[in-house]
This record gives sequence, C-alpha cells and structure tokens, in this order.
Amino acid sequence: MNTRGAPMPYDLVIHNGTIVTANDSFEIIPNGLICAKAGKITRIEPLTDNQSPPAATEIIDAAGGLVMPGLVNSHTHLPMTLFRGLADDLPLDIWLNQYIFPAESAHINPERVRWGSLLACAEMLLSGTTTCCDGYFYENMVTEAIQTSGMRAVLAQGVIDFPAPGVPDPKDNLKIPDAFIASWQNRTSLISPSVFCHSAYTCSAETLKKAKSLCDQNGLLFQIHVAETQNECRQIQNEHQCTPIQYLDRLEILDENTLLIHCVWLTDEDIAIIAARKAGISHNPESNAKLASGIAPLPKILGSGIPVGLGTDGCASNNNLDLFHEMDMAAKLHKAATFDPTTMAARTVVEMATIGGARAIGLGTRIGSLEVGKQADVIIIDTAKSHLTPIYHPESHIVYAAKSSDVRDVVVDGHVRVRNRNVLSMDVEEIMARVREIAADIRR
Amino acid sequence: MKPKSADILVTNGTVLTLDAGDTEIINGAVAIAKDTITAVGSADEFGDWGVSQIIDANGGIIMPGLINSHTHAAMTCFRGLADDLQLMTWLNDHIFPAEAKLDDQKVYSGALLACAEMIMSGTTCFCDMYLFEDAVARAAKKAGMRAVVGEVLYDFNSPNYGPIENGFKYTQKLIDTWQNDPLVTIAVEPHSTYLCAPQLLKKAFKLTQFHNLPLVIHLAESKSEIDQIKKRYNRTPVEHLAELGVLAPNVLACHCVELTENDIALLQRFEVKVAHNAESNMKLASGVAPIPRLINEGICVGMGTDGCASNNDLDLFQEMDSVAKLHKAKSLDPTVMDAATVLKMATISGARALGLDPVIGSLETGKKADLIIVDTNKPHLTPMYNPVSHMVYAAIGSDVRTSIINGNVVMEDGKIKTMDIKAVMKDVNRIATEITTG
Repeated sequence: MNTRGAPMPYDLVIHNGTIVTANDSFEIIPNGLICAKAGKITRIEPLTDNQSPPAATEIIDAAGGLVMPGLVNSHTHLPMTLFRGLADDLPLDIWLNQYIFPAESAHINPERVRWGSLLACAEMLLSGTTTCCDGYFYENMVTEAIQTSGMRAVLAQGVIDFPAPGVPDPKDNLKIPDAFIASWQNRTSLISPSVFCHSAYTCSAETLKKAKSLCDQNGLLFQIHVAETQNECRQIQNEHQCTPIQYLDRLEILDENTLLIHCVWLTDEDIAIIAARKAGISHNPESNAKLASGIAPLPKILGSGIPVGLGTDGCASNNNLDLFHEMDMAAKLHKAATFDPTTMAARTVVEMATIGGARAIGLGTRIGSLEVGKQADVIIIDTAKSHLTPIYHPESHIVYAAKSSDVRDVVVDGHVRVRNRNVLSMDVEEIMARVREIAADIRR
Repeated sequence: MKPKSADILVTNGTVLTLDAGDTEIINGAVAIAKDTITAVGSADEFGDWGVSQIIDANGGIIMPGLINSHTHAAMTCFRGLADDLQLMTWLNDHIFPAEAKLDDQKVYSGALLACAEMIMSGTTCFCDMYLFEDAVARAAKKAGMRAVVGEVLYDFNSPNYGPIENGFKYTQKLIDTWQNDPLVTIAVEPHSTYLCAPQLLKKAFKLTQFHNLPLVIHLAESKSEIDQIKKRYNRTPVEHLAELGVLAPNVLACHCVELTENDIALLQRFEVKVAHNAESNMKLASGVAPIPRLINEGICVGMGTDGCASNNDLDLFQEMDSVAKLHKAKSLDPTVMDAATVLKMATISGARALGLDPVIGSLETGKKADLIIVDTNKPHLTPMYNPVSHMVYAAIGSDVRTSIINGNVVMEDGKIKTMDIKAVMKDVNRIATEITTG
C-alpha cells in the first residue's frame, strides 16, 4: 500500500544495476529495471539516466552491481552438509564403504536431515542459489527445511533396493515416494516432488520402471545417477551387454521428464540417444573431479542440444554448494581436457547455471532467466570489490572472478530472502550451532 | 626460557603451523615481537604474558599467509578484458595492444589493486614478473606486502626500457634500490626460452649468481613452445636451459606443463623450483602439468595464479581447490594431491620456491610474522572435522578476515588498513576506460 491507501503497482522493484537476463539472446541491460508483482516479473527494461524507478512495496538499489537470475543447483544431497570434510582424498570404495555409508547408517535420522538441510539452504541462499534439485532419504524433512528457507526446489525421495535411512525394508522402497508425492504434490508452487532412483546397478529393472511409472502418473521428474564411473559402465556391460544409457533406454526410462545425473562416461551413441529422448543432464565437475570419476564430454553433450544444468553434488565430495566456483571449474576443466581455450565460454557456463539447469529439471518455462512472465528469482551481485575491478564483460566476471560472497541480496518468487548478506528466513547462528552439536556426535 | 612479552598475540584459534611435522594446535596462539614470531603454542601458555595487542581469532584458523609464486600483478587492469579465445588472437588482438599502453603509473595502480585483492584473500607474499617493476615494488611496499619482483627481460624492445641492455641496467637499479628492504626482494626474470636469446639467458643467470638472487622464467608452458625450441635448438626448453648452464636451485620455472622424462630428471637433478599455475593452464588450454609426478620426484612445487587476464582473480584458496581436483580428474586417482599436499604448495613450498623458506611459509619461532586468520563461523565451513580439508575444499578467499605481514596488521576484520581501497578501485576503473577508448 502506498500512503494514499491504493495498492502498489509492484511488490518489488530492482534498479541501478546491470541486468544479465540469460534470455535466448543473452541480453545484457546496463542500468536496468525489473518490476515484479505477485511473484512474477512484469517489467524488465533499461532506465534512462534521469528516470526514477517506479513505486513499489520493496525497492532494491543494486548500487551499480550485477542483477541476474538466481542460480540453479541441478544436483544436491542437502543433508550431507553434516558430513562436510568428514573424509577426503580416499579411494572410492573406501570412502563409501568405510566412511559415508556407515555415517549415513548411524547418523541419518529425520531431525538431523532437517538441520543438515536448513544449513544447506542457508549456504545456498548466501551463495546466490535460489533453486535446487535434491535427492535423499527422509526427503519430507528436507522439504520442510526448503519451505522454511523460502527457496524453490525439486525434491526427490531416494529409491534403492537396499536398506536405506527411513526404508529398512527395500520392498517398501516405492511406498515412501508415493506418500511423499501425495503429501507435497501441488501444495506450493515453490516445491515440486520427484523420485530419485539411486542407479541402474542398485535398483532392479522392476524398481526403475515402477519408479518412472510413479513419476509419469503424476507428471513428475524422474532422476537417476548414471554413467558416473567406469566401474558402473563395466558392471552394466557385463550384466546387460550395453551401456548404462542404452540399458535405461531399453527400459523406456528416458524422456523429457528424466534427469540424468553425472553422465561422465558416455559414448557418442549415448549422447545421440539422450538428445533424441529429450532427457536432461546434470553436470557436476567438482564432484566428478574430486572422486576421480572422470571428465564428462560436456562440449559434445551441449553441442547435441541436450539441456544441461550445473550441480555441486553433496558436501562430502565438493565440499561446498558454491555454484560460482562450480561455474569457474566447468569453464576451465573442459578447456584443459580438450586443449581448446574457446570451449565452455563464459556465456555458455552462465546459461548452464541458470536457464540450462531450469530446463534440465523441468522448470525452464518458469525460472532460469529474467523475462516478463517468469518468476522473480533474482540475485544481486556487489561488484564494488577489488577482485571485480575493473569490469569489461559481466558474464566473464560471473564465471571467472566473482565469489559466492559477492552475492548481496537474494529474491525468490518476488520475496527478499537475503538482504545485505543477511538471511531473513532463518536463524543461521542457531542452525550452525545445532549442526555443530550433531557433528560432535558424529565425530565420536 | 621463553620471553614473557609480545607486541601482538594472535590467539583463540586452531593454529596450522605447516612445520615439518604438520603440527596443529587446537586453542592455539602465536606471539609476535616486531616482525618476528617469538612463540607458537597453546593459548593458555600465554596467560601471564605482557601483550600490547591481542588479536582474537574467534575460534577460526590461524595459519601462514599464502604465497603466490607466479603472477603479473598489474594485469588486474585487464581483468576479463578478453576470454575464451585462441591464444594468438588473445595475445595479439587484445593483450599486447593493451600492454602497449602501460606506464609506470598504470602499473603502480594495477599492482596496488592486486595487492589489495591478494591481502583480502589471504596472500601475504607474491612473486611478480612484468614491466615497470619498480612501480610494483613501490605498490607492494605501500600495501605492506612481501614481494619478489623482477623486470621481464626479452630480445624485443620493452615498452619500459627499450633495448635489452637497458633491461639489465633497470634490473641492476632494482637490485641497488631495494637491497636492504625488509619486504621487497629482486629476482632476475628472463621471459622464456622462446623470447630470449641464449646470450640473454646466460647473462641473466650470471647476474643471479653474482647477487645470490632467484631467476624466474616461464618454462615449457605449451606445445607451441616445445615445437619452437625443438625447431630452433633441437632440444626441449628444459634441455636448452641445461645446455646453457642455466638450471640451478635458484631457478623458479613457471608452468612446466609439457615435460619429457628427461626434463623431469633434469629438473630434479638441478633442484629447480616449479610454480604451478593450474587455473591459467586450464583457461588457456595449455594442458595439465605433471605435478603429482614432480612432487613424487622430490621437486619443490609452489602455486601461482598467473595474471588476471587468464584466471581471472588472484585467489589462492580457489586455486588450491582447483589444483586438488584437476589432478585427481586427470589421473583418475582420488588420492593424489590430497589437501595436506596442496596446502603445503600454497605455503611452505611456495616459500622454498622463492628461496624464502628460512623466513616464511610456516608458523615457527624465529620466522617472520606473515599470517592470516580464517573465519570459520560460516555455513559453508560448518561443521568442521578437518581444518586442512576445509582450507582446500570448502573455504573461499573472502573467509580471510585478518592478515599480518612482517608483524604489521595490514587487514583486520576484512578492512584493509594500508591503502584507500575505494580510491585504488576508482583509479583502475579510470585506467580501464583509457584502455578501451584510447
């Protein structure tokens, strides 16, 4: 309401910044204006030097910084913040079997999942991530945390043919996602339930098909780790005489509502299949590197038109949820791998962290770029910093120079969730204190 | 008998000493008198000390300042000017034309901005190679940073000194001017084997022997360099230096991406030091240096960022993470370049690479007081099981809140004390406008 009692034309106005829209033509608007109403962007245009911004309930002066879409983390295991730095630099089987699986088995319970997820939300918001695509166990608790934080998310209950946290009998492994979907389907526009099958070597063909069918019935995203390691490919080859992608295709798992996570070891034929089925991919370069899984053939994947998002994976194999560093790594790793300094240019990488991720997780019409009609998920980057001085090309700085701590304000669905690096929706000190208590127990 | 007084006591943090035993002291403290560390121990050992200034680390990490063993500081002026291009296009169409516009004043401003950025991301010492290096030295001094600087020497006319004879004169002047400075030391820095005639290289080396200085050179950075040297001299760049008698323990070879088995043996035999610039090597698609191999052979490897036109920041925290991950991906081995090894590269090995390990690189009694405090009370650093792991895989440059160099507090609570940072940024923004419009 303005002083005369009439409703404000806008809920939110952002001005005095350079807008990096990430739209189809990657338009950049110096001295731009964004107006939002009821969570949607209704105006986006340049402001002339003498023009004042229009009235609004909330006005954000970007102080000459960068204004861009909130980042999309296309693959997380949020509660694994609890295990941040618990074990590093180990052979994969030792890391998994002697550290991670035992820790999950002993320490993952609903309450801890909630605190670990709240911590993850704080970290994500403070580093400019407004949407994540998560998969874990006790996902209803992860969802509660996301709701508290005000973030947007696609949230998947994990499915596996072994005993898992909250699912002691694998025979029940589809009952939990069924209940999860019933609980969260269409409850809020910010949360989309989903189902995550761990992998093709930990889930039977029957489990995979049933889980995919459950998603199809409800119009939901189906997610799966696939082709992450050479070992996996060998195993699938031995059992099914084909690649993991071919195997999933045989089971009719691949379509535009499937998110394929990792995709490190793909043949050219695999890439063609994924492109033809219009499935999406989540690329996690830091995790793939840290676990020495390999380097995905990303330039080829992008070249075939597959929607690709950027992901951090969990905090035990990164060890943060920082998409700014992830962007930098994505831009550099593939240049090194292909000996081509022109591949994975800054614009391509920014797109991957925004609209690419949005499309890959099924939200491409609603978020991922700053355009009229899309939801107002926006971040403001403070560029009055020594490491961002001078500035020639905004997209270059986003990828090669900016740090997550340069994010000053974060807006999700038109609501300010971080202002001047203060998280408004949660008590971050309390969350850190509780997680430290949990960690003290885990350490024992 | 330990002295019972100090100018500064940095206390209430986990001290990562980076000493020979990798000693970590929980609830530790470091005592400083003038420019020197006089004691390192448990915080409660210092209870009865007379201390002029107590700096509370608030439970964070107290560790040696990071050492950037290869940069071109003033290239901050060109940060993000041109990216994602073929090397020759990048150099000839963008970088060289921009560098032609440099002068002493622009280099001073660019270097001062670089110092601000480095201090604010936990770097306390850097090794520079560029033009107008006296300006870089003055900027380092103003910022209160430790620096090894050297004027780039090559066969062609330099925008600074013109013909190479003047380059040696300029270098001699640097040596004379800065010989007693507590923060700035001089190195002799021939650009590379492909831009420097054998005579130049030999003369440069002789000068380092006479004055006991490091020799810094770009070496074996790319396939193109290997091809050029093969064509001209029928040997590898490393072999070329060996033949000229220019391989020695005081040589810091920057990059070392393309190496043969014989090259590695030569580097090891002559105890040559290496500066590894992972992010730059990736960004320019030069390749991946065989660093795990070099370290296994006992070669001393430090870490560098290179310049801001091929990174594009000077953040060694990000660099550490990139190094730890790149080599795991390349070798398909998750155990190589573990956190402890990488942290050493950015601290004590960097010091050794610059010949400064008697004075910096670790927190030990008798060394100079170059240290940083990392604030770990952050969501992305919570929880903390292993501080060393966090410094490599979770921390970011802006987590550094306090920096002490040579016993002088140059930054406290994120505020840099030795310069007007707003004025410095304004200056470089003005230079950037000149570069693009001039």
